[in-house]
Amino acid sequence: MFRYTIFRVLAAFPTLLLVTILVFLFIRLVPGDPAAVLVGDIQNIGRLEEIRARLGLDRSVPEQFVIWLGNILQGDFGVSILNGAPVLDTILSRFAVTAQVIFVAVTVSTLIAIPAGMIAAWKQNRWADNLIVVTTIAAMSVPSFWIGLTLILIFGIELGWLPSVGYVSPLEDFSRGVMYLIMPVTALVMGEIGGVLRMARASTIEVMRREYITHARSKGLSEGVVLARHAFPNAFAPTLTILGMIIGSLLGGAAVIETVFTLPGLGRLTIDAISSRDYPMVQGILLVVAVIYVVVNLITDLLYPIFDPRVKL
Amino acid sequence: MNCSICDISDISICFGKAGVPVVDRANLQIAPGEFHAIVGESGSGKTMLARSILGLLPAGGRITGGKILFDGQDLTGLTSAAMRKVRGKKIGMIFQDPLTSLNPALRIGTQMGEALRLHSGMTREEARNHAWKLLDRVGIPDARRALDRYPHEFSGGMRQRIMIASTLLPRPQLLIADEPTTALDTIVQANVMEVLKETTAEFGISVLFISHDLGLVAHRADRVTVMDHGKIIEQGGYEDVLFAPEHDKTKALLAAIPQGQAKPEDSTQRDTLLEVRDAVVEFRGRRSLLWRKPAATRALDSVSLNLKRGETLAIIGASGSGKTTLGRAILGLTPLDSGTIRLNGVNISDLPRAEHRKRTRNLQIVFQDPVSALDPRMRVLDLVMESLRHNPELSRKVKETRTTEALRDCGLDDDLHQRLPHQLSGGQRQRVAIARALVARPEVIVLDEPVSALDVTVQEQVLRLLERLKKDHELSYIFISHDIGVVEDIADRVLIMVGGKIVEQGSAEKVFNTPRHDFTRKLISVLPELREVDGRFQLIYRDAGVARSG
Repeated sequence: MFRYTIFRVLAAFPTLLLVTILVFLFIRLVPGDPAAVLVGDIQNIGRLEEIRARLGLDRSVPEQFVIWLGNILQGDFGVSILNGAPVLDTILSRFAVTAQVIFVAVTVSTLIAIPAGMIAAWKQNRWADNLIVVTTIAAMSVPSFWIGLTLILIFGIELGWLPSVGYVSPLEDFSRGVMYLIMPVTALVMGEIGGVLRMARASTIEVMRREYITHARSKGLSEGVVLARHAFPNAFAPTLTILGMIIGSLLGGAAVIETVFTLPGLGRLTIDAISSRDYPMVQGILLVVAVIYVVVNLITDLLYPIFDPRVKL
Repeated sequence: MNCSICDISDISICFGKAGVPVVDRANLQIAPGEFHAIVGESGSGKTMLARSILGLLPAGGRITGGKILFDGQDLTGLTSAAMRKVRGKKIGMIFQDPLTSLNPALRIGTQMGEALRLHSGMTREEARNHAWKLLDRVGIPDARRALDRYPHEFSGGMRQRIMIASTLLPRPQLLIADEPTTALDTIVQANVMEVLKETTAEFGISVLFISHDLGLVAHRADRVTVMDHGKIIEQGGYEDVLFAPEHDKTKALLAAIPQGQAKPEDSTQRDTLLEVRDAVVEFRGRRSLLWRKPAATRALDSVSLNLKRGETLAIIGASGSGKTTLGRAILGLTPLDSGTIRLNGVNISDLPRAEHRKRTRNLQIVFQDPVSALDPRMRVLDLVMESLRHNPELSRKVKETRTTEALRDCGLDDDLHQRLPHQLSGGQRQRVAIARALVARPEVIVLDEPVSALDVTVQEQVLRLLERLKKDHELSYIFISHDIGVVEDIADRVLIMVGGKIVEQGSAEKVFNTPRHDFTRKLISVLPELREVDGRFQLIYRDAGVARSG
């Protein structure tokens, strides 16, 4: 397992290098010039050239890449072109916000989706199953921004129960922080629960057909014990993969939800950085997101043997 | 009978709203300590009848009439809570496939202990203590440590022993065993049966044993019930039912047991068709470090053989002996690490792919499991015609004619052409697989356990078909099997494999009548055979003569 981890970490480096090269190239292919954004007055050629030279944009792209990569390897992500703030600090503080929302949302989704999915599988094709499946499809089919806006309209504006805009860290003020989290988390849960539930249902249906389930029943175990002890560990492994993928993609930025609820998260930072052609910021964000993806998937794979002892790492 | 512990009367079982009953008014009594066998072909309702006792019918199945009296109560009328008090505690059940009936995610100790703890309220420690003692009793080495291991760390035979121990742990009064040894090798099967018989006798447990293997049943059972199409057609002591059957279907089942005499040395000179020299196939594990060569297991260890024209060469071995690998290697499906394979004198073992395909059209294979060997989305005609796809010289018309001929030759009527595999019976499916090999006009067909998945009567028909095809088309067979009865029936020469090596070979008569290797000797002596002698059946041990007879 230790050897496997080392191998996976080493194997991640080529992936990350490829990601950085692509990001570096593509952001420069997008029309627009950070110097122009800074200066604002594109007629002022001399000032543009001066800014470009200061940002190092007058060099060739490969040269720029080597310099940037060299700095990254020394832990220096550079500063934002837009406001001079250090890139890494900005990313990490924004990531903390996104991570809070995502982890709470994914945890809640899992806690609802897996039991519900397993119950649906257990009661396959009966009314409980139909009810669960139909409800989930309905929740999945509604776009999350619309759910967000509806929540704001009802609970924020009409009822006035919850704050509709902004963010307070639960670490500073727990109860207020939680109030701010409720609606974004609800909107995310409704959007993501379907995928997890359907996976849990499908793999449970598959597992319930196995002989060891009948064997467990033939021992006189109650249906609850059969589901929890015999079906769950076997049905959970495929769901775990889905969970890893969802966490990975959401951590990269739940831009829509963050925009609807004006959360200062990573998704919004990405959009702002792209539209202002903030090269160091975009590059930094995408590198961090790629690392997060790799790490989340590695953790998922390392958890696998817990649920399926036949898997050897 | 008043002394029975389980009295099944007039039980009927239906699937769906109102279909044909899969079990039709069955009556069965099991006496204390009795070993009662239900025999019948697949689909005869024997498994459904047994499962209905514990209320474990598959979804959609229900009991539509009758009573099951056990321990003074009618099991058919129990609430699910009351039924759970019977399951495991009073009636235990053992399943067919040990590879799928133990939960892969739970340790042996957990799985064994849970029924005991549930029914007797023991602590974890007490349950473990009972569990390892019983594991030791059924022959699991290092039983204490085995409790902390997972099912996949044990072989099939060991898993079935664990299953037996696990079911016997709460000391039930009745044990239902549904084909518990069918998935196992002959020798392992005999050992597991021994353990099952001994332990249940020791604890005074009655056994309801479901099987399609009449030899096994004749060897072990006290009483036998024969089922056919949901009905019980014959019932009684094993001597009456198996040695002097009355019902035609029982007679048919017995008549289908291979009765062939091992063929003697063939002195006619024949030319060599296929020659394997020093074939080696290794399977490599994971490399421990990038630059280090991973450890290899030899699946084939310097295997050499000759197949003569018109001959049936049987390869016998336990699972894991390399017999299937050998078959696949001959076809070129598994590459050789070293050695050569010559077909008609041409070395085919290191030809480039396209060339290999062209050269080996006269080499075909039939697999064991016709369900997974046939693409479920293709129709019969296309399945068989596909063998001719890489033959550009033939027009579509010719291909169709040849396909139709091959199908007819294998006993499949033209009206089956547009069926999908799932719309065919097991025997028909295997005929399609044989037609698929035959249509390419092969000289050699590798038959990898071609009848192991079939019922005994269907098995008999397929064996006769293979013999006829061999004569009509001058075929040579490589017949891979673990079933001595079948091999004796069909083989000219026999080759015994143990651990990737050929340990014994010769004419069928020589190998079976004067076996030299330990494995061969064990193989032929371990299970007695049902043989017809002067119109009556007898159970005959190879080494000690008649064992049980009527």
